Amino acid sequence: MKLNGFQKVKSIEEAFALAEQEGNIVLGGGAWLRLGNSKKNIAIDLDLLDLNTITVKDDMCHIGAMTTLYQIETSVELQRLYSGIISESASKIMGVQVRNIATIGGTVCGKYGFSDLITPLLASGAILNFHKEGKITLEEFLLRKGKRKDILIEVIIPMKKGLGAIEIFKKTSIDFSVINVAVVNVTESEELLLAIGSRPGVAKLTRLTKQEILEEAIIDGEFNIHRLHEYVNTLIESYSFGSNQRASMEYREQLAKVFVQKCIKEVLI
Amino acid sequence: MIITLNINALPFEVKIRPDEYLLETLRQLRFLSVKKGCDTTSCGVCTVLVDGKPVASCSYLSARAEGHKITTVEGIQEEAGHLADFLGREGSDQCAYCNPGFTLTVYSMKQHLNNPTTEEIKNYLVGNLCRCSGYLGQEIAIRNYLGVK
Repeated sequence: MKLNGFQKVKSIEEAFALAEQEGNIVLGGGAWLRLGNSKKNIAIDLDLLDLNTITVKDDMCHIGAMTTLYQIETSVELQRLYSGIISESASKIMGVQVRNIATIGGTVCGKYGFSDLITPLLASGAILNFHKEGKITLEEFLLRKGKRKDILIEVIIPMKKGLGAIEIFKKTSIDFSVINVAVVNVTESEELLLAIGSRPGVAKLTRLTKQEILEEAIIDGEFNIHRLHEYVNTLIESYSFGSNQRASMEYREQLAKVFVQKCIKEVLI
Repeated sequence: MIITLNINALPFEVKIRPDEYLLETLRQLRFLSVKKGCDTTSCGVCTVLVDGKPVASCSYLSARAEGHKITTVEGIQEEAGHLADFLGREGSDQCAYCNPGFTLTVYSMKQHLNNPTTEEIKNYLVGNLCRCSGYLGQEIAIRNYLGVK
């Protein structure tokens, strides 16, 4: 990416005013900037705004938009939430040199299809807090077309009791994923949240009814793997998969079936 | 644009392009231990420390680095020599092109991980590729250097 200027802003208001101007861009971590060929006017850097903290307040985990993936990986709060799937996903992304650059804000706002982090965030019911628009769910944000001129302040995750499971498949440690799957079972909820990403499109969320799965997979008090397998096969039909240089559509679909089954079994049965 | 970078505890005033990356700036300032490899954040030979944390300088904008403390291997020569002794004993220094980046990552690991397991050591070094050594010698050298069993 070519830049005409660079500005370290001193306030969110200053960042927003600059972001509204045509041709400017808000920087996240900037880890993937060099992979693009576009030309931008001013790069707006949020480095000085102290948006790089993880705090817990009123059973909500607030992750500042400039928090790096390495901070997420090593956060004690996130390691304890939903079996640590958010931290685990961050720990699998490239090397530590990239995880110290890439930020949660840049990852989310980029809506990257290859992201390993968006998938468990989606399954954890993450909420985004923007400067102008306020709070919207990550699910709603990902479904929107196009990009809006706003500044992401933080990602908020409701901290409820429950289990999580995640499967990430990649050919080498420093490659993007072929597929990733995350499932969260919030104890007090009647639903399971399932997200599948790197299809290669951006992660998509599905709500599953726990009772329905249990009725399908438990026969006469015994768990039946074949029934769960059939349930997952039907479920996967609602997802679209594609091919790229990493894997074919068919391969991704087969992997997804196995991983979804494994994750559901891990958190529910 | 003109910025001031703090490199190895010394201030450097430097003229850069807004889209210039730290790797290029550091090499222009003759910090030649910082190597250019894949240029896509994969290989780790361009690793430097920013505020004590390893980052890929090929993908870190120089303009952002202003106000942060940058460390290259020239800034930790004594400690680097200490690690080199351990690498040499295992015959794992080889061509040495990746050594500066590798050394900085291991140095950072020593600061951030307490008595790491082999798995944690390997995970921390995933982003440092070496085409010569096969990694086993490096692993033994690091464990000895860190004093872990």
